[in-house]
Amino acid sequence: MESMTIKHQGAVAIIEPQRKRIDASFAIKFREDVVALVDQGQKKLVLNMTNVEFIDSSGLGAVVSIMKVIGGNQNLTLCYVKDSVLAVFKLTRMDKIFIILPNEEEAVARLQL
Amino acid sequence: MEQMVSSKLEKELQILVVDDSTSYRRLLSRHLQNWGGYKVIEAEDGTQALDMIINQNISMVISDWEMPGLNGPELCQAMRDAALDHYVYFILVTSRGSTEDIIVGMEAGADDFLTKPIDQQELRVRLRAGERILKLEEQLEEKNQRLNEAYKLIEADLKAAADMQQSLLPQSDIEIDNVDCKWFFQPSLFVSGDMHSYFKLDHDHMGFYSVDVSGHGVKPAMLSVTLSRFLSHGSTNGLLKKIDSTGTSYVITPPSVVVSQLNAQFQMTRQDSTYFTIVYGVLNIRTGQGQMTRAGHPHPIIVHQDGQIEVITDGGLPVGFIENPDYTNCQFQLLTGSRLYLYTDGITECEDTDEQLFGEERLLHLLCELRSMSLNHALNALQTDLLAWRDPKKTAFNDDISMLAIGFN
Repeated sequence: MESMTIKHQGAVAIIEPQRKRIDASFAIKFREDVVALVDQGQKKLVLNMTNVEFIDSSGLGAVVSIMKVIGGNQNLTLCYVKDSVLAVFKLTRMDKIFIILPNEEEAVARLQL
Repeated sequence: MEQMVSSKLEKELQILVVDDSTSYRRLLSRHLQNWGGYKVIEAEDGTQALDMIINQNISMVISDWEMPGLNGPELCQAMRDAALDHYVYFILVTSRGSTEDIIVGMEAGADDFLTKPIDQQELRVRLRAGERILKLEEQLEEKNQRLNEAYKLIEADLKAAADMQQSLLPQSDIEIDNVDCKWFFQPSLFVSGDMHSYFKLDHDHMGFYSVDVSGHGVKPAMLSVTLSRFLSHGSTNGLLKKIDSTGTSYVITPPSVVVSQLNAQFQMTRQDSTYFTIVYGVLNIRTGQGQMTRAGHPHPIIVHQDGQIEVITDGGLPVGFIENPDYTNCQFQLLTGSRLYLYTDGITECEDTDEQLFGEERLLHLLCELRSMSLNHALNALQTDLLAWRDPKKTAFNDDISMLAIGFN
């Protein structure tokens, strides 16, 4: 099973991690794979978190790192964020920084503004 | 001297030939000796053979199938059961060679088969195949040994690092008026990305902090050690307190400024997405009044003697995420008998067999229940509860756990 699926909609790449947990065992590869995309020229990203049930400090660090590499929260949106993951974002106040939308359509649309 | 010389020669493989027929044994032995490179030993039955295999350094066995007492397959099974410390290549000689025979032989642990009458060339090539297997086993054994040695070195290093990290934790002889501090600190793998401490800042004030560096293992542990140096009250870096303009006394730095300065110093980089969460605070030990700044860290908990609970939810982003976040000072008041708990997410995120988290609510409830116990007992009870909670299949907590408790009298 590949670790994430990628599809494109115009200039936006929609990444859907396939793992239940973005934790120490997955965070590094996840970050590297996404950063590679950005290095290849991808400027706008949606993270579809529909499969992700758990994120730990390494996972959070990976997502923040991706956000920094792509140039800030205006180029990255998240959707289908589960409550357990949102709780981690809230604890660290990242729910105020990450742009989180309820579904993929809105997440893509937001980047096309 | 003799032993050293012979080990420099091509190593002779010791082959045991087992057959109740003397003439047959002699025939095989002659072939083997003619080819050279083999030292041949003979046994006339299975029992004698087993004894020789166990007590001598035999590498290969060529054994007849039908023998009185222990037959070929039984000898092989007994040999495998003996779990010798080296691999022995076992060739079964059968006069029948049916599929059933082969299955019986393989299940008994035989490596190969020969049918009577034995063809010389066939014997030779099958022996060579056996030698290749033995060589592989030798190489594997050697690699294992080197791995074991390397592992021992690494483990020793980690233990030394762990000891060093433990020595940075508050030593038990620190006494601060009106305040009783207790803690526990459990790395998941020798060293921890957590760090906490408390210390006097001046006659009336103490400082305290709890830090959790992202990830676990050596890398975050190294940053946690660096931070403990930064936040050391004894250091002259001026972070926690600065000499004032008159040069006669110290001004204590507000927690929000301390955390902001840490944030400026420890930004996440492209190569390294390490960051940390922290609670840093200052408490007036005379009045019980204090302020703290929380950056992404689990909510500090205050349990008052009457059972009232305060959860500090005010806070800013973890340190290292963005360049100029807002950090504020959250005021708090401790009363007689109040306890302030700082901890890392290894506790709240501790999972049971169903992947359910221990959680903040459960922790609040427990700390409230334990408030009339001595602080030491309360912390021990919490650790016991956590151990009981977590998946017993896991031999250790899979995250660093630590807690610092400050009791005000």
